[in-house]
Amino acid sequence: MNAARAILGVLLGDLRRSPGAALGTVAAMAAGVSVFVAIHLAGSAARSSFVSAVEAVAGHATHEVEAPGGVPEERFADLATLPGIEAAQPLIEGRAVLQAVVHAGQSTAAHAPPLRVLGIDPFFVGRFLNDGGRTPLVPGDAVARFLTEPGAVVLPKAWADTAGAREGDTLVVAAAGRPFKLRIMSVYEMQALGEATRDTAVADLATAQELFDLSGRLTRVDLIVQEGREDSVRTALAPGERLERPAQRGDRVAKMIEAFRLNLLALGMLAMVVGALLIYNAAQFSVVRRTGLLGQLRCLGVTRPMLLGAVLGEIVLFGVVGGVLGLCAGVALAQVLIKPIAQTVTDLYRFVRVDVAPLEPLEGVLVVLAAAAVAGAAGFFPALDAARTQPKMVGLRSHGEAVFKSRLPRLVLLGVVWIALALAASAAPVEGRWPGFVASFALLGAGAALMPAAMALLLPVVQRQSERRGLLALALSSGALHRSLTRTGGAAAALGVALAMTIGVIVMVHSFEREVRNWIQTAIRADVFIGDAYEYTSRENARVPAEAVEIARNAPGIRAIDTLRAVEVPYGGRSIRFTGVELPTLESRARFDFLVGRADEALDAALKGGAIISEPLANNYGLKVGDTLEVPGRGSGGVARFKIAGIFRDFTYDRGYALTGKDAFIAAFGDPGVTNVAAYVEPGADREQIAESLRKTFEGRFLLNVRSNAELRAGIIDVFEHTFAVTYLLQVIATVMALCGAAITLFGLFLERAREIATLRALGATIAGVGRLFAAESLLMACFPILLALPLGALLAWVLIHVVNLRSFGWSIGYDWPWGQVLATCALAACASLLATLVPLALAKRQSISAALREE
Amino acid sequence: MKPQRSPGTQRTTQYIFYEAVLCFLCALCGLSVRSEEPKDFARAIEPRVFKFPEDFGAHPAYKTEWWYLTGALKTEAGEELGYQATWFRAGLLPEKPARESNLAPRDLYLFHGGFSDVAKQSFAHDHLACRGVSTWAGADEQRLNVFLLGRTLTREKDGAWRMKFEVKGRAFDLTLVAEREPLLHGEAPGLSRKGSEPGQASYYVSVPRLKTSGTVQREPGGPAVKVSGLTWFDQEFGSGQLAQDQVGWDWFSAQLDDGTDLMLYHLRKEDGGIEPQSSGTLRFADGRRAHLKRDAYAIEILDHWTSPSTKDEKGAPAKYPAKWKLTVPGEKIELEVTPLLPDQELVTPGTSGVNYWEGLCKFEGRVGEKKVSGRGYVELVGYAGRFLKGI
Repeated sequence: MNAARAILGVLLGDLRRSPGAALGTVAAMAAGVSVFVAIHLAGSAARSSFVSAVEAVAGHATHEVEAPGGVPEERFADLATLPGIEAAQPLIEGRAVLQAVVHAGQSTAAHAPPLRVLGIDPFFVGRFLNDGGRTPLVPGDAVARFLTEPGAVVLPKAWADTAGAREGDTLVVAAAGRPFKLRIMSVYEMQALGEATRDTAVADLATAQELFDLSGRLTRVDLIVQEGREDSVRTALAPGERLERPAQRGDRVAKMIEAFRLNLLALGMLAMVVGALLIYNAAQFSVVRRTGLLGQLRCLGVTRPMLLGAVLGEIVLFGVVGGVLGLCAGVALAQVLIKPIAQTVTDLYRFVRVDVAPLEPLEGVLVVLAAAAVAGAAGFFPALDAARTQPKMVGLRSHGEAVFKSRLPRLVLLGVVWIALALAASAAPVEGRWPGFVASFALLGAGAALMPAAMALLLPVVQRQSERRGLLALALSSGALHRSLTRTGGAAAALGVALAMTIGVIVMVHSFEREVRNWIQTAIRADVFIGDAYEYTSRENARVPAEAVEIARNAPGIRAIDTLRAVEVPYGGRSIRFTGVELPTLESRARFDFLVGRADEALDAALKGGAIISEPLANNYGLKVGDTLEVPGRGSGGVARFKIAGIFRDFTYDRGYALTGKDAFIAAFGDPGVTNVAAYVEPGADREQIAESLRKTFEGRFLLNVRSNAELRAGIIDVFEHTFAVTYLLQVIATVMALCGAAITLFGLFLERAREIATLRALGATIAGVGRLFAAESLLMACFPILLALPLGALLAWVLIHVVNLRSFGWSIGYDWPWGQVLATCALAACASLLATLVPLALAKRQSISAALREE
Repeated sequence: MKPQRSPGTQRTTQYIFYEAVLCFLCALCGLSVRSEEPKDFARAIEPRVFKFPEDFGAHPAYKTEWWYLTGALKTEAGEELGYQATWFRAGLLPEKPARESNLAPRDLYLFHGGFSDVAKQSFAHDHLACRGVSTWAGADEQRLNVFLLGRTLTREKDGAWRMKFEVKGRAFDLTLVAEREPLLHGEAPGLSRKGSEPGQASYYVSVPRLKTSGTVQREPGGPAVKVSGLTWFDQEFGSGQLAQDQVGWDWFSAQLDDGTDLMLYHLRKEDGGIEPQSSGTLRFADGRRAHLKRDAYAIEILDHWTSPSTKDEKGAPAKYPAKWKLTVPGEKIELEVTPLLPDQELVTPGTSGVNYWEGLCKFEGRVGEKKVSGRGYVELVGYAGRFLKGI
């Protein structure tokens, strides 16, 4: 007991003498934990916002019936009266965007998050609500008004407050491409629907149908089906209808962003790898640094198990403290990340409003435990060595380094194993995305393992060569780095891995962007495009009103228009987009870049009831020309069948989409209305001018986005850049973190060598000379990671493009190496490394030489 | 025996809330949804000329209307069953709204069903509300065809009525054939006064003897049992209100074995008195019809039954009359009325307080010198909490 107290006293005393080292250890650990936590939280928030919204509204429904383009309203009576149905409710769902609030006749422009409007039937909804309807959605005495007053709506209080609207006010909202008036009948806390739906307003079915231009149709019918009666309900479905569990819709929605989330996860794991390396490095260094102290303790008779216990205990404690700090920082960081993530998901898939969910206590505990475990694992071998070695040997720190170096062959072997794994994974005949990710991580693992070995081999060479050439600073610094390989090896590995990943992503995104820019030239042919102004926020009910379509058709200067109709249909457990087009002009036909199939034949076949499909659809589902695409629709057995006539390049939908003629589309899915119009102008006409005059015509009547060809092309590039904004952001964070790790290591290194520096200065070295020494050291510290990152990044980019991207999204992209961006990144890393020398240099300048020498 | 309440019964208070407060009262009592007098609906003021079978169709110009069927049935083995099936229409607007959506309702429809199994001493009931749109719910004008999510009452081409509905999973499929002409109630035949003010009235017609045959499931999802018997049909429509001081009513209908049909009711007032406009109608086997004014008949309560499920206004268990002596001195009629099952209460759990007793009863006694017996239904409203509560 006394011995334990003595050890503790010695360790604490050491800690007090050099708090910087302890702080560095904890800070490195915290950085590693925080990035992982932040990415994990932000990523799961995007998913949970989908799922909880589904759950809150589905409530007690066991099943739901949907159909492409909606369920005909008369079907509700049939479905509700099927044997085995305990309860049924008709529902309409869509999103509207606030334009103005009219209060006492005074209209004021207003902004609030898009309002999800749920069209319900008050007589059927109660059974489905999570609280069993104890909180009426509509006050009992207002039901008659709710049912009969056009535009009557019940608003959630939080939303109304944001919008600055009160009971009795009128809201002007945009939906289905036009303005619509909603009357606020009442405002209340919508606990019955849960927190996830605080942007959800409730209106009567009739109002919702009118709002979303859905006359005659329901979004879906929710059912409570008796146990075991599912099959009999299924047999009673009409063509095109499908019966599924609400969770399946949630799954489909979640799967929609699966690829996106997987990428986030990969980035999170990268952060974790970098973080773990930093923790490992910090922990190892913390033990190695005090090898001498530990040796003294051994000499004083402290037993091996006690010493091992004390050292491990300390490092694990550092791990816990770092873990907790990292957790807090991670939660804060998640708030920063969540916005760009939500924006990307909204751009690409559908509107989400996300908030970072609080971290589950269990998750938090696990993260801290993991950090402590990594720290413990990192400290274990040096501690074991310290405990095992003869007391006289332990006294020397160089012994610790020697032991580390004796392990280098093992690290090389590990690196080789990682490389073999990477090769095996990228060649593996396994479907899906995992091989690509395994290959990427194996490559990173190989880099991390080989880095210290490469440094151990190369640093003495550098030292000899620079001595021979009289480069004193370089010789000294390479020697110093080599002597402290326990620290420098790990930090360099972390930086190298982060840089490699950054370079890999830069190359991938650059190649991708070049491909998309080329594709735009072919695919975006029409002169003027018309779409719902709120296409992104209300994708489900985006519409160009029929009246507006006719205006565009007859507008002066317009030669022809193509109308696009689109539905989402489930396919292979996900949903794909199905589009119906007319292709009235040569240009509209020329916009397809066929990978398989002859353009004219394929397009004619598609217009006659066949289909052409995008490359991702073909790649994701292994579809070939000549295959039949079967989706729920109004064909025999409830299936619409399309023979695939061609495969074309497309970068608009990562889930893939199929395209058929307007007539075949309507026959299969009914007519959900026009979602987009592509107009072609007369030869010689000014497309910008025509777009402008259409805008003027639509103003006030419709809420449509009229874009000229150039504007649309720019818009696509914008979305593309948004999409990768998150990726870049995460990359930057990982790299900055790795740089911090490297800087902390360097910082520690410099502080450690106060005496050495004092000696140099006593021998006549100027502060500039010391600066050169530091600079050389930090540049070397950046140089190794950069040398590693260049080839590793190139390999990673190859894996990302040819394995991950192709398999995740189905896009084939040509490899293109952007030297400028890559070199700039490397230079940035080197500069950051240099900057890390400024503080120690300033300290060195102020340091009293005699005091530093005396201290030892 | 208390009826088992399956999960479906607890259709959530919300549902019941709407149904009870808004619709049930409004339909049953002719109360307006809003307290002011309906302005645009037609009102039952003058006697009207009925034309059948067209007038069995809906009259949407009036605010409320119901098609009310109660019947006494027997299985082939002679076991006695009773049923109630009611379609209510509650007009929200006097005309079809000019809206883009077909789902904007003019009327609400409600269905109430009750099933009394005398042999098993069990009672079940069910209710459902739905807007009158599309194929969901509605009623034809000029023709008997009323429907609410699969619960239908239709006059077929051969003149027979076909009725399908279910009560808590028990399917009913019945064919009804009228044995006699429709019976018009009220002093001016067809116009039934409910209060002293003009417009406090409804058009009221019955078909007291509908020969009934078909099948019934006595248990949810059980075998369909063949049944036959007699059904009493009521149709009533109007836009008036009950007077403010009326708190409920006791209503009797009987088909006696000598061919006599009897309907009478008391509207009860807040002060314990009986509304002077309460009345009844008698029709004898020979077709002679007699309008019975308030003082032409008497209802004497012989016994009470206490509900295990509901409470009265003061919070005590609701106490319903449970046995009666009906007398029509002028016609020398004396009848003792006994419920065949004590608990035939339609309970709507929650706070609305709209619960009522609607049950199959045995009628025994004398018409003139002749001993008679028969079956009929009694409806008791306003005992389990004042029925106006919540409006």
